[in-house]
Amino acid sequence: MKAKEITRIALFSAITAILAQLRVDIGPVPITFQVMAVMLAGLLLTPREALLSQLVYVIMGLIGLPVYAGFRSGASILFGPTGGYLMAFPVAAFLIAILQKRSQYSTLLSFLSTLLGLIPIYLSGWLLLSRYVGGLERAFQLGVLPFFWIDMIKALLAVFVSKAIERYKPALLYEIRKN
Amino acid sequence: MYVPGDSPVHALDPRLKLLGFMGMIITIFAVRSAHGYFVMYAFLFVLIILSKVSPRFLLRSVKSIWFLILLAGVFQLFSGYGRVLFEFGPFVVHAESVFLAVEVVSRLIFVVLCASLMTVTTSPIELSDAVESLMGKLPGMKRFAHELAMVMSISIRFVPVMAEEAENILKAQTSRGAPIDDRKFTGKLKGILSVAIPLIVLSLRRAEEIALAMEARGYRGWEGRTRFRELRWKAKDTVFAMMVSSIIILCLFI
Repeated sequence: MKAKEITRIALFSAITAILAQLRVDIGPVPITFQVMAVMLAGLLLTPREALLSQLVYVIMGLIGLPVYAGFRSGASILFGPTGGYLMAFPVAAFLIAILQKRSQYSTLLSFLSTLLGLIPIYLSGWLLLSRYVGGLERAFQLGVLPFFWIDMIKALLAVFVSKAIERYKPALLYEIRKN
Repeated sequence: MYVPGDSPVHALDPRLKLLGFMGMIITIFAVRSAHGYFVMYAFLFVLIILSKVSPRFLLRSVKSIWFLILLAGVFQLFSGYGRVLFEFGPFVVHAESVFLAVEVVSRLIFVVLCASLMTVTTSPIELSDAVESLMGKLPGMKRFAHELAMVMSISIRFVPVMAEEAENILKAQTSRGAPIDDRKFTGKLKGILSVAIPLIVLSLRRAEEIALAMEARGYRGWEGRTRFRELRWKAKDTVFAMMVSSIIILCLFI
């Protein structure tokens, strides 16, 4: 890897750690921007960079740095009831990046690929949660349904951010997207 | 949170601790009998005593996710397996469910205790070295492992820096009248965007600057780099490795 790739990956995992702590209360559910960081990594970086940035984020939390939401860390979170979502972050970012690239960065397709990228997150989050709350159906009601709409809004925001950067700061993305 | 100390657990090879504790965590999900749980917990308590970390400090990590533990326990309690134990209005508790609830709660507490014992006795640097070393053992992964460790150390360094930048952006945008605390939904979204866009632009720019600085100082990738800290496998590590693996095998079969 070139030094630039290394630093981009590093800063995106740092950004994920920061956005995971940022909380806004919309309605009754407090939401964090962790997933938005995953989407942004997918939308802005190359597939490999996106994958690695999230992998490093997950590993940093695993080895005990307080980077997960709420300044938590460790295997207890990653393998706990809500850890399934985290585990899929690298896959999701990779998927978004690859679909994005295939779609030639069109706005609508970017949005769709961001939504598709949510599928692995939900799937693994749902399956792991079901081990704890007893039953797939209950896990679906607790861990997938309530978050779907909010995540859709996050996807919209993420696409908006990436398009804004594409439009106003194209030089920053030039090197990432030239091939 | 790492607590420096000079106990036998602190002194173990970080690679061994990483693998050992992960093995124990995976095992607790496969254990089927009460004896198995008892042996695993007993072994963990011995390790905690050996580590000289105050148990109260470790219990704090359990406290930080008490809600998840409670939630999982309560859901198991009403999961409705086995014969009816008692009814209380709409709540029906089955005999089998009580057992399942106890199982889930003790699993979770074990996982939390295990993980926090590892992070309390091992520094982040040691752990990232361990990750690099273990990954490098896989065929063809040496270079990748090194690069991953490089990424990790830059990222660890820049989390606080970027957090400060995020706060600066938040303040700057608020002073310009960004609707950060808006009551309306659309206002909130605009507020989020007014922070997110500059933050991402800034981090992309920072990434280029750091890369330039690295190259200016002669970073040419993996080749020819030497290490300041080297991990050494000692006799006590072998002893501990044998202990953990025999306990794991024992628990899987009783």
